[in-house]
Amino acid sequence: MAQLFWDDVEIGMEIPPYKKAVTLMELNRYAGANEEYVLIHMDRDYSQKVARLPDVIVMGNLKYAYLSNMMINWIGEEGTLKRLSAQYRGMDIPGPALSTEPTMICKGKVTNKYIQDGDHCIECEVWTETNEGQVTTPGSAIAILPARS
Amino acid sequence: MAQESLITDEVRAAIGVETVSPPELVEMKAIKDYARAINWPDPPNPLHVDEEYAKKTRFGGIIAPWCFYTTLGRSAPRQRVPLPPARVGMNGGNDYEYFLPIRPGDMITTTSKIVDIVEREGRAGKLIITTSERTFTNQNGEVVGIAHGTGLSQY
Repeated sequence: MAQLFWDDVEIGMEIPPYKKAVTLMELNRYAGANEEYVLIHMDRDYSQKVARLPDVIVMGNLKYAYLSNMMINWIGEEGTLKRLSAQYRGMDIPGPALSTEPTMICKGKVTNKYIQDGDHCIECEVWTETNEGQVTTPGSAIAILPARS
Repeated sequence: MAQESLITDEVRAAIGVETVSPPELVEMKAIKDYARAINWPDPPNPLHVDEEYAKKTRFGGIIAPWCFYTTLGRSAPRQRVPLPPARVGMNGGNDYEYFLPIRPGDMITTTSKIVDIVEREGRAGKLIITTSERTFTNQNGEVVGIAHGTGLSQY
């Protein structure tokens, strides 16, 4: 993928969306890699009957990882992610097994660009949306990009 | 509010107390498994799994995915907060600052502390919001990053 340069970024510019079909497979794989064995991410009975949730829910840490994937894919290898924050405000429910239909979409847009201590910085608003367009994970990001000049 | 606050002086005393983990080895397999999990079913970013590829980048070798911070500091002594067990605990948010890449073979020390504990009356009952901070230091004494976290406990 072509490298993104600071010069070519404008305030208001949209980050290419990152879509994900999240199923229990993705949750289980992440639970293993992150040693995050928490029942509300694993067991539907527990989620509904004990935790009183509508279903198993996608772990916040995995939604964070997807937002970071979106940023890393966009800023490229010469870009440097400096800060990324995400707030888990709403629930994301995994889709059916083997489904390839996206259940969530990471989106973002550029809110600021500036030069600080010689670094060419950008700030972005980022978030995840459900298929119904509900924002479940608002956040923000700061990155340093290479400059052409 | 007739009901008593869950935040007693003993709970408040936990705020600001630092705990330090023993240095923790960052294993190559852990990096690769994590990189695969966050991209599944798509292929992982080669920067985290392919040494030949990573060598040719400005990083000079494999580095951990940025969000790998979620795995760190588990071996830190648990800060005892004398709150009753919650009905459900949830992650309220992550805010990570990235200073330096984490590499396989790094020995990371995690310094953790609770920054604040507040109580809210939620729709479903009492909610305790705990904000915390973890600072990650590598074997060279360099701070590689800081993780600010928010934990939600529903009563």
